[in-house]
Amino acid sequence: MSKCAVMAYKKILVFVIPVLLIVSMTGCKTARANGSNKDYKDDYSSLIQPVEMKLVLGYSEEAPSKDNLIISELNKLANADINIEWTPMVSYNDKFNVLMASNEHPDVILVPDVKNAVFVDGIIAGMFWELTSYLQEYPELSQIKPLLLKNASVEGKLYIIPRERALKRKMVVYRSDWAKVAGLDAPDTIDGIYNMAKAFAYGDYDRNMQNDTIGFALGTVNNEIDCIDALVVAFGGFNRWGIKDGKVIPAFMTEEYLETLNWLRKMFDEGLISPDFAITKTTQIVPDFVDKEKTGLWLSYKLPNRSDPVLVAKQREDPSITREDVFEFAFLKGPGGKERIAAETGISGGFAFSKRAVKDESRLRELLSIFDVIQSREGQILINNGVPNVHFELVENKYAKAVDPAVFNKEVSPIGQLGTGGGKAYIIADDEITVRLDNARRTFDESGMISDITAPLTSTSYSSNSMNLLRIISEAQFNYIMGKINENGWRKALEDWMSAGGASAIEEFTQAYNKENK
Amino acid sequence: MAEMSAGIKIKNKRKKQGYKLRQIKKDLWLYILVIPGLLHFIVFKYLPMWGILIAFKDYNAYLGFFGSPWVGFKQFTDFFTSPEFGRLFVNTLTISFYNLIFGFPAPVIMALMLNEIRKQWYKRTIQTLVYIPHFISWVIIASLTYTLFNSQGVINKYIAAMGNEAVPFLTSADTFRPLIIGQTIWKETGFGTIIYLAALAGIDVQLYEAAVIDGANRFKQFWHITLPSIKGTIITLLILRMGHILDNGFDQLFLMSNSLNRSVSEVFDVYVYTMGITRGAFSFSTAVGLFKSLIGIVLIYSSNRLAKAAGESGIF
Repeated sequence: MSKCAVMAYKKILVFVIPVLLIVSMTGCKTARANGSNKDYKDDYSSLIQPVEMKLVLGYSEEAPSKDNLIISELNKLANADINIEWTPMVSYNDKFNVLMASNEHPDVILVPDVKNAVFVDGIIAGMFWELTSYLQEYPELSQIKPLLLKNASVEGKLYIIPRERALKRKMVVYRSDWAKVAGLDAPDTIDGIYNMAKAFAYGDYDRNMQNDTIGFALGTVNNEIDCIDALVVAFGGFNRWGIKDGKVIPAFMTEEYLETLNWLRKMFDEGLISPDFAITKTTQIVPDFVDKEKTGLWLSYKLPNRSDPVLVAKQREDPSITREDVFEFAFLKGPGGKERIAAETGISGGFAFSKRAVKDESRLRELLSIFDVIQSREGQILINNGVPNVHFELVENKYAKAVDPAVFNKEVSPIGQLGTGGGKAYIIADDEITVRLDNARRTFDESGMISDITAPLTSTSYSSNSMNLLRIISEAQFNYIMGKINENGWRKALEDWMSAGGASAIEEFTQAYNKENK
Repeated sequence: MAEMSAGIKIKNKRKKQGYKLRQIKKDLWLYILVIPGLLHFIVFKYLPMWGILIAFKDYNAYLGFFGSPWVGFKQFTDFFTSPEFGRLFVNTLTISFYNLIFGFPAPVIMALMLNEIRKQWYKRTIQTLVYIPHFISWVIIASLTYTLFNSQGVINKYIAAMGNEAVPFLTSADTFRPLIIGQTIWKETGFGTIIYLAALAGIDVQLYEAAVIDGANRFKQFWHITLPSIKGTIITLLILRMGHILDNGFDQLFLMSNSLNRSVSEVFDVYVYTMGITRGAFSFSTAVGLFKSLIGIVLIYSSNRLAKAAGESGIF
């Protein structure tokens, strides 16, 4: 070969090799994908055909492994082949929206919130199976409480299998050791909170010789004060929305709400509330304030866990100290002295079945039968408590205690996301206080549970404009508590809210309410 | 005569075509080298551009891209008539305007200052140090700001020690903009000096030597040699900057906003995120994004024209 020809040959090679590489690589990829699919099918065709079910769930700490024991037990129990894709819990809402816009739907979609605009749009477009009549065919699914079904419905029709949660959850959490020293009772009334906040803020219970304790720690979630409903209800007000003079109106238009704000304003003025409460996320309260002994009184859905640094430090000094010696909870009482609780909707989203993945009724029935097993007591115990003697052991036949808390958190806790009826499982407790708390949650007087009456109702003008409407109120609320605006300013914000679309929201909710309760 | 000129024209055209082909042949490998870059732009920039069509549709995930109904300019009219529009527009423009006024000259000034430093090791060290903030993510910067500026933070402790009342930096609408501009300047000024320093390095040393002989002092040298030499660079960067006038940087604004400054902190970028990702109004937020880009293009073109009219070279 002449030198020139070699050069030309080299030149061609330079160009051809990358192209060949690219082509061959993509070729390999598709070939491999096809191959594995085939293997997969061959493996299972010899068995009794377990029902395949794909879904996406969120995890909060660590995604469970592929060979999770509970899932494989559940597969055996329901003759299923459950395939879960795990995604971080914090971004699940975003994941859900993106999933809805994609062409690849899993068989079952966890809807984070029934009122989610994308979900409602999907329903209108006919994207989901309506389940109202199907549920009656299944022994377990037909037993779901009517209140849950009502709250899980969209315009009176059911599209999800709701995930049951406790109705009674928001509570006051406080440092019981400080309260004992101060000689105060459980802060289960508004005055109780105020007195304790004052005592904690001005006294030096953390014994650091500094006046740095926040009397009453408030946090925000989605730019609203977290758990403020609990306070409003304890003042005798509505839980978000209520009925007055035949109209459905928001809580903040009532005098009780203004009373709550005045109370908070007074506390802020007296320095019992952190000046930075408006920029404190509710998730910061425990790590940033409680664990640093900067507060001992706050509103929450849960108690600090057993590995909380404050508790661990106390236990190092005196091993006999239990969690209730340091942290305690209280449910609020109303003006009449009886318990008055801002009830939750009782559901935490639920599972919907996409028509894009679930093509026909027979497939839907297959999937529903898996959920029927999940809904059973056996299924719920497996999902929430784990495998007996591997994950939990029964104490006095009353509650479940984790055999190894680390393993329990890793293998069982995330699967709880599948829990559609947690009330059927054993209480998971690691000490006395959890048993007490869970029992307190499961027992309540119906009349003291104030529900958000708009939970089963829809108003298009509210949901399409909710961002702006919420902004008006939350801004005024913070400014009022911080003393930046007075009562006139607050009333003006209410007027702004009405003219920004609130008036039509009230009208639509009232109509929907009348239709529902005819 | 006419025929002849026509003939010449055709001949010229052919000649030109032949010339072009020859040119391509000559630099064939250069053209081939361009292909991956070109592919990148086609695949990742031009093809996804078809997505903007959903701004004119009522996109519904179930019906899909092709099935969703066309709605013309409905999304745009909805946006322009929404109560949020005015506020968003004013907020976005105000922050951009301040960023332009205070943020744009900062790297120029810093580059000029660095340029005057005689000790090379000292200049190099400073240069490296000022680049660092650029590589810190907004999340870190936001939490640093929160730590420094909260009511118990160092700044407020200092203010209190001076006997003044604490300033609610983070929870007030008045201090939001200064805080944002301050963050941007702190983060990006150092890195922004790179291009100017390169331009400064390209100035012919003989010019300075000649100026010194003519008796020019340092300020005169700066005013008559340094500044005119980097004027073109400044203008080019300014034009490019104009295209981003409605971009405020999502991360920063999203992280710094809270209930008490939302009246000034809500801008287009955050709005597109909330409407598109959180609320799932894909068509609507695409329309908002498209509107933003259109304004950007108009501004780039007009400022380029202005620059050319003023005798500068412009960017295209």
